[in-house]
Amino acid sequence: MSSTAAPPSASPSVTPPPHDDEDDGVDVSLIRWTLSLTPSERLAVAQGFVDSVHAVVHGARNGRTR
Amino acid sequence: MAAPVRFVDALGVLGRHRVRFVVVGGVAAVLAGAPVSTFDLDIVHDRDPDNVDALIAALVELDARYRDPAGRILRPEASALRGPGHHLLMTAAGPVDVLGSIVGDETYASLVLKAESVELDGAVLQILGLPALIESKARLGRDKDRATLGILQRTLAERQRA
Repeated sequence: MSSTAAPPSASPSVTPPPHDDEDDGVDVSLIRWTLSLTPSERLAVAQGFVDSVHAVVHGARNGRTR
Repeated sequence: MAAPVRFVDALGVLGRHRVRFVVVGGVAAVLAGAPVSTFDLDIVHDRDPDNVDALIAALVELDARYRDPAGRILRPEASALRGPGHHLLMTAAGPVDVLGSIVGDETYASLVLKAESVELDGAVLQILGLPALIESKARLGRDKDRATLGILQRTLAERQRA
């Protein structure tokens, strides 16, 4: 391998795809993603959010009580 | 420590007891495909006596009690659940708001006509559809409702476009 090859993460040719947020700031790409999921998967995502917040809050509390 | 939030567990217990209800609020929005977050389950139940009896049985299984700032253990009773009021409960599956009615005089009987059926783990749930959720949020007009209104409207537009 050539020692002058650029690492993949430094490629200048990658352009992020356009996103079609409108003035209200709503992330349509996120809506399309959630709509692609089944109801069970959507609820699992919401559950994961709750679990993550719970873990952070209780992790912080446990850290303070040590 | 606070009770863990387990949406599926709460819905499962209600389903096993054959409680008639419509899911409203954040969980309904999530199930309808809106990318919003929520920490509680809101339901509007059928206030007919037979359904209230089934609801009480489910709430007993869920160890439900009112979220009382004074820390008292107050259990919901059938006579109160037959009324139009709101019952803000903590359960073994997290916060569950049991609502006799919402915005104005919307009850189970009127909301179920605007509901969508979704399948969740083999069970069919009635959730308030996006148009009705948007209408209720717009009518309530509180800060937290306005914050999600745009997301709900765009989600509905995307669903109609698809």
